Amino acid sequence: MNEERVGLSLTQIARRIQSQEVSATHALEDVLEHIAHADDTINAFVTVLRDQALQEAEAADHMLRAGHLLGPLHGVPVAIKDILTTDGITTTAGSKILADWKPDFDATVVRKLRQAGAVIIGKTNLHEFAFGVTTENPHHGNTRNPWNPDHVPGGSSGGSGAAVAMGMGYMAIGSDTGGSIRIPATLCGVTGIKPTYGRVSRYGCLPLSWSLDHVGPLARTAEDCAYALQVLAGHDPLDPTSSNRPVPDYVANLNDPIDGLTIGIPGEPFWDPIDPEVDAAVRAGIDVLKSQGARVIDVELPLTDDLVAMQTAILFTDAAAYHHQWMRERPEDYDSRVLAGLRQGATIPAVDYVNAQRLRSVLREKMHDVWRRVDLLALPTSPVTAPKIGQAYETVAVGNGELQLTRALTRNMSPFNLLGTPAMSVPCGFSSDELPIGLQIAGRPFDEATVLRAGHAYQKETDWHTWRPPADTTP
Amino acid sequence: MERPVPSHEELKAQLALLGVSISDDALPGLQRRVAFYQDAMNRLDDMDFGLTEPALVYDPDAASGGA
Repeated sequence: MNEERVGLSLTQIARRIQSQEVSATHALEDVLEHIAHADDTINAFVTVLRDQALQEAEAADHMLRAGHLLGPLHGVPVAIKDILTTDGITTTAGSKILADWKPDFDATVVRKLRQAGAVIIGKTNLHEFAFGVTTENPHHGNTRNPWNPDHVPGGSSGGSGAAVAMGMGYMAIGSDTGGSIRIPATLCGVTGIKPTYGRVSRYGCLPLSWSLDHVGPLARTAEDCAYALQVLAGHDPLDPTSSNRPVPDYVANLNDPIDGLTIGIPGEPFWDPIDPEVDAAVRAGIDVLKSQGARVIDVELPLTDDLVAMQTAILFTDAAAYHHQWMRERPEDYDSRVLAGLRQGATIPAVDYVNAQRLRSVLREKMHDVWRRVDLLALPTSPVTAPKIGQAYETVAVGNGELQLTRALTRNMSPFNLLGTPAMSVPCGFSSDELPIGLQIAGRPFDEATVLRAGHAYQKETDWHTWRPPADTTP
Repeated sequence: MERPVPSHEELKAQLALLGVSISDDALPGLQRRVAFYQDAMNRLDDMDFGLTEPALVYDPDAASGGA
């Protein structure tokens, strides 16, 4: 196993493979060895496609030697959250109900990754049906945090976050309904972006909530996310919620300076309660952006007191609608805590659902005033670091206060699902018990380019994204 | 008027309307969840949307504020 290679970013390994400095087969073998070494403990994967991936990598090498480059991810090992369909490969959604389901089609993002030359190494674990934030999973085992295996990796894309952090893939796809890309990104110390609603196709992604679900990448750096998003973004006729807007070049302007940008710092309730170490690390991160010439101002976001009600009424009702038949016919096959949430969704009146969607329209309208004043928002991704396994549905201490854990982990992220606007988490420090902390950068609708540019500017001045978890993963 | 917290029997009946069953020992947990939800929704009940509010739309560009 080549530790130096495993520590490379997606962008770096892609360049080395394309220049034939490293073969795709060797890059894959490094990752597979890491999986063999660490995944018995971390449990990031539901399925590892060892033989298929080796065949794909060998084919990628053969093509390169023949002078044929498939695309920007040629030969790069990547992982897919097991809620996205893969042709002929089991897609469990982290559930018992779909434990043996083998779809006969690739999700659009999987198809795009293959077309760009990526090698699919496996399917990553998740909270059952993406309805939870810890990736504690009774059907496929808990995924553990690579920084401390007694702690959760976050969720629902916990396997994707843990895989990237642990060097078990250079990029992993996640989905995000209330924070499920950004939660594992911040808790595992990697970078993850939820793009604008409609920017990346959701065809082949099992829904949790149709109007809140987003698909996006988790990787080591903002630059990696830009490369990945370039491949993933764009209109898909198979997804009726996919946007027709042209996709800009996310990479071309990545190195442009950020001086002249105005960054808004939202006040209540995003900083209270909060772990003081998280507060300090995120404020230090904002100072880094300021030191590069960004103007930082305080802003108030609209309707913050109503966000929980909106999110709950929409998300839980959608989830209950999607799961209605299985709730009736196979309730015993759900995790009892997931089933409890689905049953709650089934009790929500239609009037609440519609009024929550109406208020959501008001929220978006009011946000125009904020976007007229600022280019970006910066705030803590999560007010807490990774909680211990076993606290998923408990109330936890957060600084001087306390919050129910799901609320703690989604509070600062779910507003951007309601808004449908892009938001990214970048590593910005560590707590005294060596758990990662994330800085969230959010942008205007369809302005992923500015979000990525700010994240990249931050990572050029800091090295938190280069920190690696300890190799010994014994809990 | 503040929203009430449904009783166990009311919750059971509400789920039964959708053909969804629930055991008696799962009812207290559901009731706690619904109580939290009802409290959060009290605020929305007082919301003034205005009389000429535009219709709710559901397309990707509108979903992002149409910006």
